[in-house]
Amino acid sequence: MSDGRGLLKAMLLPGATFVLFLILWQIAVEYGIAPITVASPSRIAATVIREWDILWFHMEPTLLTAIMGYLAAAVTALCLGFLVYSMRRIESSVLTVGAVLDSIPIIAVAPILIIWMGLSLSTRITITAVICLFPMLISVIQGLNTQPKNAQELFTVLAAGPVQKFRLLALPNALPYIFVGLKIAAPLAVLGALVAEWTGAEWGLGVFMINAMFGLRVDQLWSAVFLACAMSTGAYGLVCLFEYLSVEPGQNPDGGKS
Amino acid sequence: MTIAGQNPIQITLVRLVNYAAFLVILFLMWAAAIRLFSIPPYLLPGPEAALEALYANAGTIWAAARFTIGCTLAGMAISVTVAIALALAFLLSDGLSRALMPLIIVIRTVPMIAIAPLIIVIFGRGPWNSIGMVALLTFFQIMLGAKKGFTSPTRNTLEMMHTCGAGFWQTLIKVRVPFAIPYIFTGLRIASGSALLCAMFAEWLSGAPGLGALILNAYSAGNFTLMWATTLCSTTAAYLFFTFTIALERFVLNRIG
Amino acid sequence: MSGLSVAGVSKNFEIDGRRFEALSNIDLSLDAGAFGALIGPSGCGKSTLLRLVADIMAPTEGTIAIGGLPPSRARKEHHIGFVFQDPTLLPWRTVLENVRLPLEVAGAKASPGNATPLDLIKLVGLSGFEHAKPAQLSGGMQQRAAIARALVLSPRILLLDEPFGALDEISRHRMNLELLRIWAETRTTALMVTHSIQEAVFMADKIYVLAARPGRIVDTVEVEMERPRRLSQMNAPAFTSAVERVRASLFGDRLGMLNDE
Repeated sequence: MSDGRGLLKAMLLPGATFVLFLILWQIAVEYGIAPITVASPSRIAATVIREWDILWFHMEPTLLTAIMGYLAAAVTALCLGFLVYSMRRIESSVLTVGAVLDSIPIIAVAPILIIWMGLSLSTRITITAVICLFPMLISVIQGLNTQPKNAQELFTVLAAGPVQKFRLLALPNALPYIFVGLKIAAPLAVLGALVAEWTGAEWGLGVFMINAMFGLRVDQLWSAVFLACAMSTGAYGLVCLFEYLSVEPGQNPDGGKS
Repeated sequence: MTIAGQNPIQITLVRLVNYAAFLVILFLMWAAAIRLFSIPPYLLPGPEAALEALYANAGTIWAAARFTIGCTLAGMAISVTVAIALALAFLLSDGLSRALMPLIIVIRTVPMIAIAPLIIVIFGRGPWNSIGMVALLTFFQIMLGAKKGFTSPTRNTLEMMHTCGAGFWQTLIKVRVPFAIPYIFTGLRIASGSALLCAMFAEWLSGAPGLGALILNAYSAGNFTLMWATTLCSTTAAYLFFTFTIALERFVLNRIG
Repeated sequence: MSGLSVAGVSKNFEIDGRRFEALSNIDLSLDAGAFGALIGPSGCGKSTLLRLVADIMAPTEGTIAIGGLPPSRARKEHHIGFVFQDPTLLPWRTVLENVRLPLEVAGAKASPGNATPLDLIKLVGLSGFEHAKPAQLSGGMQQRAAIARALVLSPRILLLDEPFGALDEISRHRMNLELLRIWAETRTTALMVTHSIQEAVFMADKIYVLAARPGRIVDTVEVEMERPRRLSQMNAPAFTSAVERVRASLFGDRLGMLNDE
């Protein structure tokens, strides 16, 4: 349905707008119009290149935390979702508990977990997983809930067992919804890793960021934030790629796309 | 997750009762866990100690809560205004929409909170951090809702207005705006879920006198009972805020039908 | 002993605490290999009746026998093929994988001598589309795939719930001919729910006319036309008199149709 040429054309205008924005930004900084705390795109690029070794040294633990936390949350969400699917009665309890836990500010969850688990990589992974869990869980539950009535009747007529119904109908049908949650959670994983580091860590992009902030090292701060944004967008794009490869286009109405 | 057809007061009461019940159960389990596992108070103070700290510091917590809620409301007011204005601009100029929408979609993949250190460095300390962060965070959801709402009238409806001789602005006011209101409020509801938490986050980093900073200060000072008490209040505040927007959305949807 | 027999079947539902009688005292029988039709106004319970035969629901009273077996046994032994109003193909599977689905579900219980999925795809006229996804097919083609799927386990009975209701009249005539051709090859007993009098008379050997509130059979019309049926037969006296009889039964006062609401 979407040919490559059409996609390229559609990217032309926003691409040009973005370049225009970069140019205006650069000019604003060079002519002193922007506040001193704003770094120009050229300075950001130069800093990233110049200090790449240090930046990568700090990016590695952040990436590790984000990925492990994301996977932990995904596995937990799938297990819990399957549990709710098998025992419908617990669904509203699980969702209420989840909603309330989601209302607890991360800035409180992080220190509490640190008090309980100490400063370590597993604590940071847990913090990240906690942030990612609820959006994933909601979409898993929602996905497993929406099966078209006729399809359910079909499986009854075919005399399919419950495991067959789950494997052949409920799960593939739920995939588009599950991916909505996975997409939302991908940037959250990066955020979780950053927050965990801000609360207490020795290394990591978050640590680098905070130190740059307190030391008013503007170029380094902008570079770190830029890399954090790149990680976040990259994570989202990766999940979108997985979705493209595994889900039939137009299979289900997708609530996430605008 | 709104329940269609119920009235907002009912919904609010149900949610409040659910929450209260949840708190009671939580407190009981909390106290039981401490007794069962002999958890030392520095790890997890008992619910009584937390409530005591709540009473003792009620004034401070309340002042902090007022600050945070105030910043959140201010931020949302700004973002609603800008969001609707931008959605209108997209309606007027298709070129603008094609130029900016893909960029907005990409920006949405970045958690706004990650930019917080940058905002703080630019705006210094003070309430404008919280307000700016909330505005940034809530802007996208509301703008997308408004855009979807403005373009939601069916082709037949728009053709009908055209045959009545209505121009762009008349169609806007008589048709597009009423159609858009439910979508805008839905966007508001979704955005408000994290708005309060975002404000607290900005305070946590910048030190502005809100709930976020209070949690951080209590933690740094080792005053864990106060930290727990403030956490409880923050969670409740966020839950109440969200419940209020759900009820508001339901109220508006019921009025419009 | 084969074929379908329904005796004294009633079905009640509980809605908001009130008992709602969907079907009352239904008796019908079809010889093995015969083609039956159920026709009636909305709310007469024809789709419910079909689902009782398919063991999707259980009757409140009465008995049903498919080839001598109760529906639950017939279903578990995979003797039932069901075609729904919408094709209900799984969108993530190709046509071939969709048609194979009942075989996968039945697993080792599939008996030998079942038509292979590829043969059936050819029979329903979808050769070349085995590896297409449902989204790439038209509504009529999807429904053909659904029919192939319903036939893959060589069922003793084929149940169809307004299968062509979503199609325009021209496509519907074409699909009717196709279905008769396919059915002639397999010769299972068939029972089809329809809301089109012409379709019922064209397709069936026996038509059961139902009335609503409560759902009950008010007339049984035998269609004496030779097979294979052709569209030109729609001018024949046998056709028009059957249509008239069904129409009279559907629109007569004693059915209370004009007293709806």
